[in-house]
Amino acid sequence: MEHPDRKELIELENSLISRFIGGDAEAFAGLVDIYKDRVHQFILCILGPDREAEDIAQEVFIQIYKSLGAFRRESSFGTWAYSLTRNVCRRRLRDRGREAGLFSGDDGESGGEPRDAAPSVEIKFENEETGKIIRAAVDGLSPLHRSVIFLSCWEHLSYKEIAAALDIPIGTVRSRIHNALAALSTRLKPVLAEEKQP
Amino acid sequence: MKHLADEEFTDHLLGETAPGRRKETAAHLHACPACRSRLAALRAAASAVAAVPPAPVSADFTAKLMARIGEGEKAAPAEHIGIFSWPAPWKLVFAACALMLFAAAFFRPGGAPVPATSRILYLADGPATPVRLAGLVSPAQPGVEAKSGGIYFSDSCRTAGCGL
Repeated sequence: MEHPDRKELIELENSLISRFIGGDAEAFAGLVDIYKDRVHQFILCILGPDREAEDIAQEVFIQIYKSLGAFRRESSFGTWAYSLTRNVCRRRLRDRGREAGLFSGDDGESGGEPRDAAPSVEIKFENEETGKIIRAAVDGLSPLHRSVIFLSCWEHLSYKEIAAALDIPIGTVRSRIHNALAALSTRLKPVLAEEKQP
Repeated sequence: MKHLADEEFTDHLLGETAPGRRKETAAHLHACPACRSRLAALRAAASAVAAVPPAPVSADFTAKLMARIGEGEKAAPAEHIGIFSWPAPWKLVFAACALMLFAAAFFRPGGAPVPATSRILYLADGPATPVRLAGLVSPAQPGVEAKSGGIYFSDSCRTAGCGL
């Protein structure tokens, strides 16, 4: 099922891509404006908090700029851009000597459950803004769980698109989304209960 | 009552339930408070996450990026696209030496080197075959001229000592 906002977004993207291929360099700036925060967020999902995230995002867009002429539109621009972002992140991890099997399906967890790094009890007592608490809960997930949550809940990509962007099987996408949401639901229970109360 | 499988909750939540399973899933959720409650918890978590905007980049991100791209575009032609620009001096010297060596080999006394393929046994009127060779007695046989052509002997003929 395609999210209604996504349909408009895809139309806008396609128009900007056509303009760019037709020689309008300004159209590329339009694409950057649509995707810069999303790509940045996706990089943070893969790498975790990283001082170089913005620099990596620049590298991703330079890659997109160089390859956009060859983009065949077999997938949506978003799926393609996220797939490219994943590759840039992997390369960066390799350069840092941290070749991680982030998206090979095992992502360093034997049981497939998200690691329990986020403070679930403290949430109740620390009087932080809800947004920060939610972000902290997401940060506590593994890179793969953060990525599937970002691509499904934020970006409304389909299972198929997420599988293509992360280069993992659809079955893995399904189970990881469930595991991540279940973990978030447990961690955010106190916050979500407070939100419900008047 | 059999509850929904883990993935069926997310399938339902994200609109990914297979068309053939939709009615069944909806009917089960209608009848099962436990599954309804689990679904509500997952939906609340998904909505909470979706409500948080992505971490923004700095305000001058696009301007910086376009400047970087602009610099790259300026640098690229001189380095990669300049097919009409002069190549590096060492490349010119290398090319000249290679040309001279080739010319020396080709125009040396005796002409160009004879390709190995032309050294196979060849009669004046066509290639040698076992049947045609059987009719030859000696190279001096009338009718078989040793054209500087005539008969060529291959290395294998000499080695085998076939008498031709």
